[in-house]
Amino acid sequence: MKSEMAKAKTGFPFTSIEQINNSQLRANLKSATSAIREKRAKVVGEKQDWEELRRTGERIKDEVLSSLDEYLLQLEESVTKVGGIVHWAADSSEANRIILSLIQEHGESEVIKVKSLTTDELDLNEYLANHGVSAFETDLAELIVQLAHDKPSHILVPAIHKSRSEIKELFENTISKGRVLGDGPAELAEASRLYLRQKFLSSKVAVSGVNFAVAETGTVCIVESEGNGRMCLTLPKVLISVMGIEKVLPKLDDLAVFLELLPRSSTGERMNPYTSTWTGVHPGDGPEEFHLVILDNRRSHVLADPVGRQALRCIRCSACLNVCPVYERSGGHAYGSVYPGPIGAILSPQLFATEASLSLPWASTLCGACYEVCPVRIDIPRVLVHLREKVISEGYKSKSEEASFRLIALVLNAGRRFDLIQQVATRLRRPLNRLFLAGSLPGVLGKWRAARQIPEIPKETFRMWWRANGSDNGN
Amino acid sequence: MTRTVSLFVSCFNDMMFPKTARAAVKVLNKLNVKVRFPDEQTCCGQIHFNTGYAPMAVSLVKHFVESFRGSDEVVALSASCTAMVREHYLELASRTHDNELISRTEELVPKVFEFSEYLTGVLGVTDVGAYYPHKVSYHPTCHSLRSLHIYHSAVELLGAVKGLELVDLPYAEQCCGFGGTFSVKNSAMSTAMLADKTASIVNARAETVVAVDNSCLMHISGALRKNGTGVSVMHLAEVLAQGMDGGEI
Amino acid sequence: MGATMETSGIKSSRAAILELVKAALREKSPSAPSALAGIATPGAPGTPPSIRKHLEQSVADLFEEVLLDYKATVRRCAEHQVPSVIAELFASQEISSAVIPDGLDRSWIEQIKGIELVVDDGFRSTGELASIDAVITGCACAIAETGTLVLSCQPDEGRRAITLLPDFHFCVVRSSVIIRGVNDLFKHVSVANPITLISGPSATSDIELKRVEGVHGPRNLFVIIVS
Ligand code: SF4
Repeated sequence: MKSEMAKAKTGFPFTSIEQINNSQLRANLKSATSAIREKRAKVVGEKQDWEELRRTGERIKDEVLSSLDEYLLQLEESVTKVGGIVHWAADSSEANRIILSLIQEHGESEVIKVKSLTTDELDLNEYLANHGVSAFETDLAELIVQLAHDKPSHILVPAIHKSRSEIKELFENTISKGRVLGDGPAELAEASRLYLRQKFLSSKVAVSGVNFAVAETGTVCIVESEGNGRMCLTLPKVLISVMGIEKVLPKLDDLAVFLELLPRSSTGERMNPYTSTWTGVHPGDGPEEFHLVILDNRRSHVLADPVGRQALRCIRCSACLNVCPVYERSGGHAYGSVYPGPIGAILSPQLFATEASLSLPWASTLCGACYEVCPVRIDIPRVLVHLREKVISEGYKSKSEEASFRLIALVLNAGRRFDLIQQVATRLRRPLNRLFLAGSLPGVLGKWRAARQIPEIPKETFRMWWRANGSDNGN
Repeated sequence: MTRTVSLFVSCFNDMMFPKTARAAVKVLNKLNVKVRFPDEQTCCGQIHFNTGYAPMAVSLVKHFVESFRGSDEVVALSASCTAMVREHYLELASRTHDNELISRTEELVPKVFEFSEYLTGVLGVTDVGAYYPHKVSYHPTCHSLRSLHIYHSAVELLGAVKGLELVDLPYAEQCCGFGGTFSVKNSAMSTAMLADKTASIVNARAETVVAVDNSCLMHISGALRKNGTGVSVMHLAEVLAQGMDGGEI
Repeated sequence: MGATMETSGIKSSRAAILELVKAALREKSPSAPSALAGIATPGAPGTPPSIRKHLEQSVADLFEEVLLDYKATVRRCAEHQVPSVIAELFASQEISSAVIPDGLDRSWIEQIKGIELVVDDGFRSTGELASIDAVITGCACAIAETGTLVLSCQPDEGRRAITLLPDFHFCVVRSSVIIRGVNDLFKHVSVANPITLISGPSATSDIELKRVEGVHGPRNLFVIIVS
């Protein structure tokens, strides 16, 4: 079965087809990603020391990863010292159990949430719903996705695949029932403001992710735009924040570096509208109880791969999605994971290792656009190739493909052998060229010819010509 | 002082696009550079490495390093092969734990240059005396743009060609969708990217698309020809060999 | 040490995670391939004009320019003009109530007419704060390059909720507290208090990536820069 993966009806080549042919989605994504690419390029161009900043970001994250156990212990100590309570979750089910029991301890059946990929990774909302707790997403895009019983398709703009008219209809059937809305983004945003205000004022428990957590001080940071984050972090009595083990930073000054890198890479702004930090519990201001859930969920497994571990430097800015020509044509759903796009292609196979995710390392031309923009210099093409090798070495491969590559390598391992094969091909060029042009072609060549002509085999190879003329050419 | 370079034509050009290699020889000779062709050369190993068969690529690395041993300078007619050598050879050679191979690789890698990079960066030449009175678009292939950073070299060389009119290619920096085995493994995606690339090319109203990688050009031209657009493709070396004495090559 | 959960299962996850992490780190990452930089690209861009302009501008000018980009309303004035500028801004909007933090300079609000003013005592309920139209605060640190107000709950800034729930935020910034860049932010503010960085009014680009000013936080931001 392993060797049949290429034929399986799962995996990116299959899941992307429907999206590639969805003209509305293609148009939405093209205009959205080109707009944000331009914004990013403009504000990055303003920072003369951008390359240096990227290298600093890379260095800080590498430092964290290289002593991760120590930084986590330091973070735990600092958070505890300032009145926070630290929990450790080995996997998603443990994290979900911890969060549920904290909510139940306070006798609540509703929580408000700040957009968090980590909790999406946990399928927390579904878990809570199954245990009688309703979780309300408060980020506009997450709200849209939640109301539509859909899945996020972009790290930063989870509803990027939805057009304004779809959102208008959705709101009219849900949060603005009985009202007729216009389809202007401002009016739709206003509808969500009205709906969520009451939730913000009445909820007792909020659940959030974490952008950064500083080991030396126990300071936690969340970066956002709408103000829903501030509402959740300030108004409820209890705050539960979930962080992957890789989110820790050594010092406060390191945080400043990422506050420069993240907004410019992410929304293409010099700074996002709101950034909040809190250091434990602040009497008289904000939650009376703060819980930090530190989540592994196979991140330690990713850490064990010396090449693949750089994926843990990711700060989820989504710049790599916005420049990726593949993402631009497939959208996020084709990746079958909460982490789509180039970062998803290297993170999902390592984190989740589902059979479908094992096709993701090949879902790239290795064009390198992602690496060029990544604020922490994750060499995504390098990791993709590494994972291709790893997946094949673990036996998920096509036997016939491997045999062809072995044969090609054998031919290419000696100049004479290659010459011989070339001579044969050149002699047979007439029938071969006819076949390539119009004959029936199986397999790889047939796939190629479906959209492109096959070039003709010329009458002599370069080395044949060189043997006859090489010495005449001024040599 | 005349220089001598070893030409790495790449397996692909050797077999399918010998005219590119002949043009490169002509241009180099015109600039007083002697050309050698070490005939043991075959392939840089990129296809194997990129598809996930790194162990097979290691033997090709070894073969490449042996073939070009003792060369003063190596000029490669493909940006992606040059990037393969520059970015991955040391790491692949290290896998053998063969110290001799490792040190030979270390010695060779900095001597390998892509063709246009060699002309502008090493020889310091931008005008090679070519004449090509046509409208041309330049497609910066991904490896030339992002691994080798030679966009400027190529554009300067084209800019100096007499009679040549360089027209802007919209979304030039976007990949054409080739990606080696990507084009068949993810054929629907590859075709979608290719369709957008050829649409940009047709919109640019150029007669010829020029690049420094024949693999990408083969991909692009495959669709340009299939769709009867009448736009042709050319490797940069061929453009630079146009109008030199000696006529057709 | 720190772990405060009593359940043994959770304790053991802590140990298990730390152990997995330690084990994962046994193999070092391959050192980055020696930087074979190739050949220097001709025509490497120099300092773009936009950066040069930023470096030459005074921090207050830069701060103002970036704030205007965010669609905030900005006024520049001398210290003695603050009360009249605030009063004038208030008069231009439909505002009937405002809250101020206890430590705010009272002379700033002397000239505001016809609105209900409350001083936050720290105990007003969120519902009460949500029904107030505006808030006026000072600001102990601001960042020019990013147009950022840094609020750290100083006496004239108040607790977080008062700058969150009202729809209009008026903020008085002395130009002496404006720093140029984000890089040394934490040399100027202490994280002992919660910190909120505010860069323009609340905004979203979640619908077709079209920016809409104003979602949940204050939708109208007024900054008075005092020289
Ligand atoms: S991989 Fe890099 S570019 Fe992509 S989301 Fe993560 S940090 Fe951003």
